[in-house]
Amino acid sequence: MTLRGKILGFFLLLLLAVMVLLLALVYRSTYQHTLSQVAGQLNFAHAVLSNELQSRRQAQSAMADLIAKDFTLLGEIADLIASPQQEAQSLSAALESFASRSQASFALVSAPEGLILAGTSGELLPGAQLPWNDLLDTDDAQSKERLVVFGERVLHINATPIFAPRPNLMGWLLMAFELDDQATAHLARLSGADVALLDGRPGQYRVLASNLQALPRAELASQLLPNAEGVFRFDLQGLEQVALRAPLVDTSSELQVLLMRSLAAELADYQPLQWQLASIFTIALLLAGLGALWIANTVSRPLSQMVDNVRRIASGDYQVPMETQASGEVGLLAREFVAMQQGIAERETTISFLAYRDPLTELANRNRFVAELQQALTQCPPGAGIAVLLMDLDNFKDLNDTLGHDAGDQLLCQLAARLQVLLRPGEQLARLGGDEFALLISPCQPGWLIPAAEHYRAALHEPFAVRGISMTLNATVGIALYPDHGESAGSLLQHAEVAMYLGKQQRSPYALYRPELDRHSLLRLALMSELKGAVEGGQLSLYFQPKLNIRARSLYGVECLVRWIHPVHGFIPPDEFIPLAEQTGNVCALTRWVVRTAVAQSRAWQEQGLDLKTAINISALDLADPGFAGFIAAQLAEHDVPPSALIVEITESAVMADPELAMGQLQELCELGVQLSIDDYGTGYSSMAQLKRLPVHELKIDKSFVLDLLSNPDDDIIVRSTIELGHNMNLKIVAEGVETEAILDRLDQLGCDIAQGYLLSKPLPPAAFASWLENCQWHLPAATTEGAARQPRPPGN
Amino acid sequence: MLKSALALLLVLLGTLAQAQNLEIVLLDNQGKPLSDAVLWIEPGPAQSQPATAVMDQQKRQFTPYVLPVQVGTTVSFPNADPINHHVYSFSPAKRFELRLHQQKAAPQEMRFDQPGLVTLGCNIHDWMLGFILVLDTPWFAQTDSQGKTRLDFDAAAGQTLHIWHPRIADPQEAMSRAVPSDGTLTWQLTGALKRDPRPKEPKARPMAKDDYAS
Repeated sequence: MTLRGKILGFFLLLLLAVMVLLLALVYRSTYQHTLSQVAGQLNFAHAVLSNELQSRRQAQSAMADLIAKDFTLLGEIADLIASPQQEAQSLSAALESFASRSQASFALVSAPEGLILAGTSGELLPGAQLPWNDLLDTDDAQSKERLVVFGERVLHINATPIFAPRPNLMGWLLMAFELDDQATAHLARLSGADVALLDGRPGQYRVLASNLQALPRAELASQLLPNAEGVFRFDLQGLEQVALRAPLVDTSSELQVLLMRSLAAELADYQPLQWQLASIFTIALLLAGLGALWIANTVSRPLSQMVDNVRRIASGDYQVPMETQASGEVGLLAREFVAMQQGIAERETTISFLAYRDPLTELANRNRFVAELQQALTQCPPGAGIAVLLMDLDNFKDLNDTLGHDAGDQLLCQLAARLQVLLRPGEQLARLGGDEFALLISPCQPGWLIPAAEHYRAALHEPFAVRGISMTLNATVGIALYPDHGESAGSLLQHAEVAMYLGKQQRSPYALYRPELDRHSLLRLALMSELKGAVEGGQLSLYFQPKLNIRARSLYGVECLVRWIHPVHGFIPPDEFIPLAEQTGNVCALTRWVVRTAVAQSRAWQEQGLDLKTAINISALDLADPGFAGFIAAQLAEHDVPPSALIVEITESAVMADPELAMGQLQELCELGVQLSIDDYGTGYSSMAQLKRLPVHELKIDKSFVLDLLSNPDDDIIVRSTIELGHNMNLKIVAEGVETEAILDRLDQLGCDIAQGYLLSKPLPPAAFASWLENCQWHLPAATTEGAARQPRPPGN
Repeated sequence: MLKSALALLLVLLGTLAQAQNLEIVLLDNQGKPLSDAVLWIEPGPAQSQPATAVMDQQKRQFTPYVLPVQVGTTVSFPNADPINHHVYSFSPAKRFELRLHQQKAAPQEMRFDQPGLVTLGCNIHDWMLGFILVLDTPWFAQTDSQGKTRLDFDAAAGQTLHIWHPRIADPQEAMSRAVPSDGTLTWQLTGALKRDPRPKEPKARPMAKDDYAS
C-alpha cells in the first residue's frame, strides 16, 4: 500500500467512524430528547386538559346555575306543579331551548326528590327517577356536578337546585354535557396530544371518546397499560406511542383519560435534520477525502518525485535538480539526497577518471578508447573512414624481465610522452595495456594510413634512456580501417591487433589488416592469451620420442616434445602454438617449463637406473634470454642431473637468425657441460664456416632427407656427406624420420650414430613411454655406463 | 301604627264579643327569646274585616321580614330603594309578580284571598327573602325582640294557638297548642332552630359557586 493510500484511508476511515458515531449519537440524543420532550409535553397536555375540563365544567355549572334561576323556567315549573295533570310540553320546550342555548346534550327538571317532571332526554323520561339521586340533597340543596358514564357516553352532569326563592326548593335542573369525539378533539387541539377517554380495567378497556377518527379502539381496549403514574410507552398498530394515563376528577366510575403522542411522528420532525446531517457528512467526507488526497499528495509527491530523482541518480544522471523547498522531514531528506547526489557525482568523477585513464601514463585507457571509438563510429558521416592504429613494442616482455618492471614502466611513460607530443589535432591516443598503444584517427582515408603509422613510429627514432642505459626500441603498428576492415569498435581493434601480429611475424614496422588474415586469427588470439595460463595450469605435457644408438642397437635417449592438450580445442599441434608463443614472448616461459619437466624426468630415469640422454628444443628467443643458461644450470643442480645428460636442440634457422647472439648463449651452455644439437639440419642454409664456430656436439639431419633415403639417391648423397662432414667435425649425427629397418640398416652402413623415428616409436606421453620402455626390444643403457657419449669439441676447433 | 290600629280593632272587637288577651313569651330550645315568630289563634270569627298591610323594600330587603295578614288583606308593595325590584311569589297561596320601579308615587297593591304562606323573592336580588303569612283569623301577633307578644282574641271562638317561624324546622315540634285559660303563656320550643334561611347579600361580586379546584 502506498503512503498516499495509507494517509487517504486513515483519514477517511477516521472521519467515517466519527461521523457514524456522531450520527448514532445524534439519533440517540434526538430520540432521548424527543422522548423527554414528549413526556414533558404529555405532562403539560395533562395539565392543560385538566384545566380545560375544569373550565368547561365550571362554565357549564355556571350556565346551569343561571338557567336554574330563569324566571320563565320557574314559572313553567310552578305551572306544572300547580296543575300536574297538565302535559309537561311547555316545560320540555323551554328546557329544549335552554339545552340548545347552552349546547347541553339534554336538560331535565325533577321534583326535589328526583322524580323527573320534564326533560329533553330520550332515555330519561318524565315520571322516571333520576339515576344520580346522590347529587340531590333536599335538606341542603346545592349545585353539584360530576362526570358520569351513561351508556357509552361520557356526560358532565350538573344538578342545580331550583329555588323559588331560596331556600324554597322547587325542584332540580339537571343539565348533561357530553364529552364526545368533538369535545375530545377540542381538548386534543388545546393540549397538543391525542386524547382518548377510557374506562374499564387493563386489557378490558372501553374507549368512550377520542379525537382520533382512525383510532384502533379494539386494539387499544386490549392494551395492558401500566397502572403506575407517569409516562409510559406502548405500541399501537406497530407504532411506538408515548402516553400518560390519568383518572378524571369528580367521577364515580373508572373513567380515565389517555394522552398519547406518536413517537414516530415526533421523530419525523428530526428527519430533515438527519438528512441535513447526512448530507453535511457526505460533503465533509468528500472534502476531507479531497483534503486528505491533497495532504497525501503533498507528502507523497515530493517522495515519489524523490524516488524518480533517486532512480535517475541510480541510472547515472547527477544533474537532476532536486526539489528542496519541501519543509519538514521530506525537505530534510531531499537536502540529504542533494548532498548524496553531489557526493556520488564527485566520487564518480574520480572513478570515471580512474576508469577511463591509464594510471601509469595518464593516457586514456582501453575503455575510454573503445568509448571514443564507438562515439566516432556513430558520428561518422557516410563515405568517411576511421582508422585504428595499434602500436606494440617488440620484445618488451624480455626487456621488462631483464630490467625490471619499474624500468619498463619508465619506458612506457617516456613513449607515452613522445606519442602525446606527436599527437595531431582530432586524433586520440590511448594505452590499451602492457606495451600496447592505440591511436584513433577520425576521419581518415586509406591514403593517410601509412603516413600516420610513420608519423607515430617517429617516437621510436630517438633511443630511450632508462637507468642510464640507452636503448632503441622497435614497434609494430597494426592498422584497421573503418568501414573496410570492421563495422564495430571491437572488430576494428581486433583486426588492428591481427594486423599488428602479422607485422611482427613479417618483421615489418607496420601492417594493414587483410581479411584473409582473419581465418584463424580468432583462435590464435585466444590461444595466445591462454598459452601463459596453459603453462601454469598444467595443460601442457611432455611427450617422449626415443633415440637409438644405431651401432649398439641400444636406446640412446629421448627427445622431449611439448604437447598442448587444450581443455576446449583438444590437441593443438606444436607447429601452431610454438610460433605463437614465440610471437607473444611466451616461448621463454614455455621453454623453462620444458626444461624443468625434462630435467625432473631425467632425474626419474636415473633413479630407475636408466641412462637416457634427454633432449629439449629451444627457440631462437631463448638464446636472447640472458638468464637462460643460468636457469638450466640451476635446474640441473636442483635435480642432481649431470649436464651431459641434457641435450639442447636448436634449429638451424634460429641459430642463423642472429648467429652472434646464438654464439654467446651456446657458448655459455657448452661451458655448462650441456650437449648442444643443431636441429633440422639441411634446411637453414647455414654455412659450414658458421657451423664450425658453434660449440655444438650433434647434428640432426632433417627427416625430409631421411624418409626417401633408399629411393632418392640425392638424399642418400646428402645424408652420407653430412655424416662424413659431421664426423670430420667430431659431431654425432642423428637421423630423424627413421621409419623402416631398411633405412636403419642403410644409416648403419653410412655410419650414422643415432636414429629417431617411427621405427622406434612415435612421441609418447609419459605413461605410454613407460610401458614402451618395459616392452623395449632394444638394449637399455644402464646408468652406470657412460654410453657412447663423446666429449664435445671445444669451440673454435 | 299597625299596632295601634290592631289595638284599636281589638278593643273594638273586644267590646263586641267576649274579649280576652294572652300574654306570650316565646323561647327557643336554648331558652333564648325568639323574635319575629307569628302566633295566632284559630278558628277566627266567621266575618272578616277588610284590612291593609305594607311590605316595603328597604335596602334590598323585604321589610318586614315576616308579615302576617288576615285573608282578604290588601298588601301594598312600596319601594323605598332607589333601584328596581321584581317581587314574585310561586307559592300556591298566592302566585304573583310585581315589577317595582324605583320610588313610584303609588305603591302597587296585592290582595291575598287565600290563607297560606306566601314566600316572597326578588327576581333581581336573589338574596331577598320575605314571607307573607295569610291567616284565616284576625287574632295574630308577632314576638318582639324579647320574644314577647300579646294576643287579643275572642275566647269563645279561638281554641287553638298556632306558631310559625322561618327557623322552626323540627318535624317533632308542636306547632300548635290549646289556648291557655289564665292569659299568660311561656312557650319554649323543643326542637333546635335551623339557621336563618335568608341568604347573605353579596359584597362586591356575585357569589361564585365554588372555588377553582381540581
